[in-house]
Amino acid sequence: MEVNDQVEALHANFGGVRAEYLRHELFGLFTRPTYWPELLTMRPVFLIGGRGTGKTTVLRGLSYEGEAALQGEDLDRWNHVGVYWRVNTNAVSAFEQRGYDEHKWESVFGHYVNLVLAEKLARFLIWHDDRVNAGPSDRSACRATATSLGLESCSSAAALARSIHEALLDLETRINSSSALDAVTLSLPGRPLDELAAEVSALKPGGELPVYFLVDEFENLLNYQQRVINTLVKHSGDAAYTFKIGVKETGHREVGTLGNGQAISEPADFASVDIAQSLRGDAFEEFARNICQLRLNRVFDGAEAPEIRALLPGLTVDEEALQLDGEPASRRVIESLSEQGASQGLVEQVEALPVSYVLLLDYLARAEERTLVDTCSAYVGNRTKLRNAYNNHAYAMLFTLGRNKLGKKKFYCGWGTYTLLADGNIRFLLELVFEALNRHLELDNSLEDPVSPRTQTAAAHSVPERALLQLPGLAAEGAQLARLVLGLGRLFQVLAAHPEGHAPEVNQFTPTGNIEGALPLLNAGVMHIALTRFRTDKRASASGEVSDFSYQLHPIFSAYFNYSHRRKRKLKLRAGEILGLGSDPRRHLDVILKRASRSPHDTAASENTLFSEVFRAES
Amino acid sequence: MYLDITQLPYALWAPLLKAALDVPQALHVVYRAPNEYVESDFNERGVLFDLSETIRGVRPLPGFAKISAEHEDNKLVVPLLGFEGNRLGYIVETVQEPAESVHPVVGVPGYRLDYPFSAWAGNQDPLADGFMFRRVRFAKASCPFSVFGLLEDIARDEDDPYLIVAPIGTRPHGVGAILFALTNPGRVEIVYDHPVPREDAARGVHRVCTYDISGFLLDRAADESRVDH
Repeated sequence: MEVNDQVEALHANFGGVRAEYLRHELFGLFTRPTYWPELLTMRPVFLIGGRGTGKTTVLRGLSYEGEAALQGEDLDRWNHVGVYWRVNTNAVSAFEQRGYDEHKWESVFGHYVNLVLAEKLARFLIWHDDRVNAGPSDRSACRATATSLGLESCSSAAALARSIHEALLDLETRINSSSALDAVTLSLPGRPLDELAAEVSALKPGGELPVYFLVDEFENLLNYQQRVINTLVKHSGDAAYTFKIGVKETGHREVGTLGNGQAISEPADFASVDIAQSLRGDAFEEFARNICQLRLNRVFDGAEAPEIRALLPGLTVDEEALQLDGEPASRRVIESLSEQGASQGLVEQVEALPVSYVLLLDYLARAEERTLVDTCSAYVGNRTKLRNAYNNHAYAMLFTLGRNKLGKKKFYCGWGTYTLLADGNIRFLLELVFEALNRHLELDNSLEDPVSPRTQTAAAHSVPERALLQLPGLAAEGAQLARLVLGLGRLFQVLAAHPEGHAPEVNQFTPTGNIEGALPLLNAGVMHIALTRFRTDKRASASGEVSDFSYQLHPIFSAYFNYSHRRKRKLKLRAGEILGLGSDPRRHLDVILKRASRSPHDTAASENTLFSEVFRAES
Repeated sequence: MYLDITQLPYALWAPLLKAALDVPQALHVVYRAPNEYVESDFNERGVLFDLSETIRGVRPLPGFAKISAEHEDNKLVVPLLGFEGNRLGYIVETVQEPAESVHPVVGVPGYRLDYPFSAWAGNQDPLADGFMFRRVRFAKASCPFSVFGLLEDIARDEDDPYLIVAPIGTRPHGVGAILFALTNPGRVEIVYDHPVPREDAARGVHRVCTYDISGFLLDRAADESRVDH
């Protein structure tokens, strides 16, 4: 296969990483995640995951269009009928103010949800009738649904869909003009869906076909609107339908319902599937490998494709130390050892060690504030002690190589490292693989050959840079989040470059003090994948207290800032400092680093524009 | 009747424009284009943060809500670009249409020779998404009627799509978008992100523009009538 053909095929198969972008290609590339069976029950499920974790792909896979593509159009083979509804911010935010109180809007929005979901079911019936060549069927459920929605009676799904569309236009006109909403006949939440869902459910010969309402981007709903959906979820147990709801982490803000305000709770009313938790470790690695291999096979278009893991080889610590000019550095260590009066025997023993071990000894001497001779004497004669020190500190030592100069920095390469950088986020992983393979081709290489560690590292730098550039546009707090990421990234970069005498691989933080003020920013960070959060105290996991959480920058940013992507150690950050990093990172960073006995001037900042812009005065 | 939109927020002048068109009087829109913008506000990639802090978020302009477009399947997004690339990123993220459905519009010619380049530079990152830059079209930055005509062209070229227009660039382009939405109520949706402008972002007066809205709509109606006959 020619390189040019490979470039084109690569863009076609790896370039589109969003479910919304793939359209008809989506189902051809669909891979079932390990949590898939948890979604195939009548229990309502909140599918929780950040941007890029695959919620939309999964929900679309559950839709009837997905079932038809994945299982075929024969309803006998189906488990359910799913109708997909993405919550459109521009539409749902029309349902507020205009002089009406929230109670009134609850009723109007509940009616709107009935109209939208009923129209979707009606469209499924039209689709079904077309497939079985039955033509428009006379359906009593359509009449009942129309009556329930306050519409003129209609006997077919097509007539019902038309009638609902007109009702939506009428509602839209009323919202846009001064005409009163009071004149609209409102339906009770969920009531019009009962008979229509029962009609759909009975389509499967000799069995039941429950309806799944697949609600995506639940976080876009206003708080009172979340209560409306919660109410439908709570009462769905008695009906022929259930809900599968995609929501970003921290996006399910309201647990109340309408009326008496009863809250929905887990496990009584619903189950949660946290995608990042479900796909942690090996499960994500396997899921990601299947997805990438499927796409890679399509790039090769029938010819034998290489294994994706083989295309992205990693480096051992020793190989990496060599690539980071470790050879001359280790020679200098050995010369220094001789100059300091070490015995010939000790020098020879050190010379016999691999380069990374020699550099580690130098690192340990600085960390323990001992002479190089004393350090080498203590470790070289005790292999167990040396191996333990290597296991604990060798990786952290790599970040100290070249810390005061621009240019060669720590490598981020290997399939395993890429899956850890992506941390359960399939979009990040696809972007990493695409960037690496694309850069590899741009250097006139072929996809039959492995991608060099340097090219992989360059890709690992560019993906987080793009994520950082996109942050200001993702949310109203986007600019604050971008500064917080820059501030935290610089903090962990300086800590990583100067670990001697401190705990190595510090890359997480626990908020302290009055954290209520910092929570909106932290929650927005989690929602938009700038941060990840995790329970600090596993015993407290049931309490749901916000203080239980610790945070870290999403591991994808570690390559950009040059610190360890591995989940390791925490430091404490005051709530005021977190907010301060979001508003003026340079000033607050100085204070935090001073407390950690470091100085930002000790470490060269990255060459990139964003960095230098924010930290200009520093350098 | 003169409507000066220079200082009014979109959420105020857009419904005023809609209401004014129902009044049987000639309508002119007035806009004073600033002499200069504070350069660092848009000139470098790294400073795009300064402006995005003020985005309040997408919600409909009063009188322009759309709740009935759930099943439109031929959607095209037309962002009318300004200097702030973060606003384009936010709009694209919010509407969630494929990048190949996004047809950005840059104000060319600009109020000043260099403005189109600044707009391009400010939007370069989101424009790279899905080769969006390949579909960029141009309309005179100071002319609402130019962008109106361009939107008509896009609608015609793309087989009567449902247009999602995001007026995040010049105010005259915003006027053109609103007029187009008002004259094509079923096929156009306005998406707006409600930024809060910084007080010191613009200085002085470069030019005062007056747009004869009623005259334009009358001429257009006459043209259509001629075509019909």
